Amino acid sequence: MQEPVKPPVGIVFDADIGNRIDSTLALALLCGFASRSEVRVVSVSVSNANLQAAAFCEAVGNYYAGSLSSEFEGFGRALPVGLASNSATTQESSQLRLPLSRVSEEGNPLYKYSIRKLNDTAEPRAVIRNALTAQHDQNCIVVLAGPATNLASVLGLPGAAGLIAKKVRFLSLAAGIYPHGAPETSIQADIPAARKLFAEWPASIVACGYEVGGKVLFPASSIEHDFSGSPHHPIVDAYRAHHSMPYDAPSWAMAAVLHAVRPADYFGLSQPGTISVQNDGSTRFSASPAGRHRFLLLDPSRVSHIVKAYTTIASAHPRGRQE
Amino acid sequence: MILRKALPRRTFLKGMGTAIALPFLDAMTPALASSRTPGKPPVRMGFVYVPNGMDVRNWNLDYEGKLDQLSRILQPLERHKQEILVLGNLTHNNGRALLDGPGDHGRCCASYLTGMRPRKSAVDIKAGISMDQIVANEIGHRTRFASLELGMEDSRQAGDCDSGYSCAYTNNLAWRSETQPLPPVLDPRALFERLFGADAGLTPEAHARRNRFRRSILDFVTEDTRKLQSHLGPTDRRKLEEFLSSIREIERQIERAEKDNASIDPQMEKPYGVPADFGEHFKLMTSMLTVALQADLSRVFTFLVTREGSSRHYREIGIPDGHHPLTHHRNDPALMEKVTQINTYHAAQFAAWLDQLKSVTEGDSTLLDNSVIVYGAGLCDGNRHNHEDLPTLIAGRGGSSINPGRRIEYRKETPMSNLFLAMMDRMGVHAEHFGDSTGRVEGLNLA
Repeated sequence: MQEPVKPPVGIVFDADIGNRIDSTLALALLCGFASRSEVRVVSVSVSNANLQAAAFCEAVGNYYAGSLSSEFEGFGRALPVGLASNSATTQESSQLRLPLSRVSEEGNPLYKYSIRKLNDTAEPRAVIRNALTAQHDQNCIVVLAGPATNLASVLGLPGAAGLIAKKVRFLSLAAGIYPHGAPETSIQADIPAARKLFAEWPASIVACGYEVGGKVLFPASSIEHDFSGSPHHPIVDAYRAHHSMPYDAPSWAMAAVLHAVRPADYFGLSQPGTISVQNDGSTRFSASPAGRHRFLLLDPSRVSHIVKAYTTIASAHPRGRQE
Repeated sequence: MILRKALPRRTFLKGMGTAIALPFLDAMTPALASSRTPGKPPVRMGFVYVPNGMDVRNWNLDYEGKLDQLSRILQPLERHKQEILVLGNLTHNNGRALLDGPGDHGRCCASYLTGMRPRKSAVDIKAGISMDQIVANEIGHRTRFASLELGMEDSRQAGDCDSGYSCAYTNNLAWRSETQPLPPVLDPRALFERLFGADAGLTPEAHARRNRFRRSILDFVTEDTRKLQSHLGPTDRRKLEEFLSSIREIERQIERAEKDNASIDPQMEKPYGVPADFGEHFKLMTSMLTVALQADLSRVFTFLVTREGSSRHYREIGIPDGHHPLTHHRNDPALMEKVTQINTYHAAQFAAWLDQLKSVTEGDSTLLDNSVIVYGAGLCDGNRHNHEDLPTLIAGRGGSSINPGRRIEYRKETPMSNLFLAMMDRMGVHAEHFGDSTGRVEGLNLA
């Protein structure tokens, strides 16, 4: 029987948006890849309960989709953004508020979005599970940048483990420190979820630790220069609002996206093993030939090569966008 | 203390192969125990499905909470505003293509009550056990019929009805097992005989011949009726008379349809006793459903108004075009207007039926109060073939477990299966999961 012709790999992206700038940059990188038709963004969900975070994701998706066609708006087919609603914190975030509040000379929002209330978003586990059901076997990669809350919730659905095993090549995850280190924020934010994820995820996991993201910095100069093709850009606005310029940003979420899309080109991989989560939120890697977990290794000589990929792809002028 | 012996709930009027179950009478409630469980009317659950989605511009409401201004399609339900609950954002992911290509009509109908992704095949069918049958399996032993399946168009079970999907998918709502659908009864005479008679083995022609000479089935139970009436109070006597009159009226309507069909259009493809007029047919089928629910012959039903993908015309309201072709209107305002008119016409038939259900009293409540009836479509917009925000409303109060008169908007992608789990709870049937559920919808009974 002839193999079906598969479309570009589908990416399920779940992130903590608005608290860290690297997740925002990772979203930009992902949209840049989608603009180049290297991937399809099949699901976007937010793990922090902040309605503005969901609205910002929609605005970025619409921005990168440009004016290709109305069908392409919002990640392909008006995909709803998943938003965690049971998370305790809803922090004010200047990197979200500023771009969303910008208006044109006519007084219209500069970046188009429709999310105004919780019911304009979706329950993350429904949106993620539904996205997986529509993918060819082994033609999907999940990227997690932040707490494991939403993915652990997906694992709780009946049949989800089988679905993930069938559809997903691997999970590329930006959280923890490897092979071991101090407790890391994304893990600490929901330790039970992180434990469940590492213990039960039925496909391979590649972890991008703080030790990698902290050594490859996204340069402020790129924001100043590379994004100048558009007079307005939601990523530029968010970056500037997040911190006084100029500042370079760590990039572990971007590394997770870059490895997900081009796994052979930029990073090395550890031996296989098992990652476990300790009571304090630290992670520990134990090598074992049968293990399904690995973590990214950084070759210092490749840093400039990685940064070039970040800046070139994230700042790509959206195909079809009219200015 | 005054305690009289209550009339058993399962009392029948019998005679000559006929057994007519009775409606809920006050005499069935023990004295001084009117609100206690033994005398409490049962909750009935059903689904009324209309095909080809809706013109959602004219279905949707742009507010939540208490129902106020209704949309154009919902206008016929204005008088029932306090008895309906309009729901937004319910989704059937398994109705979507999910790599299976065209065939949204086949998928949306097959997944509607099963919550499952149907196998794309014209022969080797597979969906899932439908939610109504799960409930029927649990409570069906309490009534003569575990469930009733009604329809008004095309019960073919074989052949390709939509891009490789079997007609079994487009022409059935209820599935007893994942490979066995329950075809709906289309012919009013057949339904009548199933509910009240014993001559289901006769051909339509033989039925008609016999009917020419036979009397009403009520004539066969005259003696039982007279005996019972002597034990009833004035209110129950009136209720019984109304109930028997409604059965007689149904008989007359069926006879009229059979007579019309025999004389007007001998070549028509409809079963022998099916009225040519859509409204008449709808009324006849729902009248029988009312009697069946009233007499507690069944507590679970599905009503596939017309088959999914139906190309039926609606000359009754001046629309000679096929319904399905009209829904692919390419945003032509004239065609969209016709779709809205058909959607509104369907809603008007449904509203007229709710009048009937409301008119049947059960203790200090009505049959509608004691029902939970979903009215809706398996596609959202028939032009776009999308499967999210499906047009859905609930009529009735499910006993006292639903607080209608409102619109609830759920979060996007909320599985329709979550609603079904919540409805199963109200029928006393508890399941952890159903179809693609992620939990239960909340708020159905909030004030």
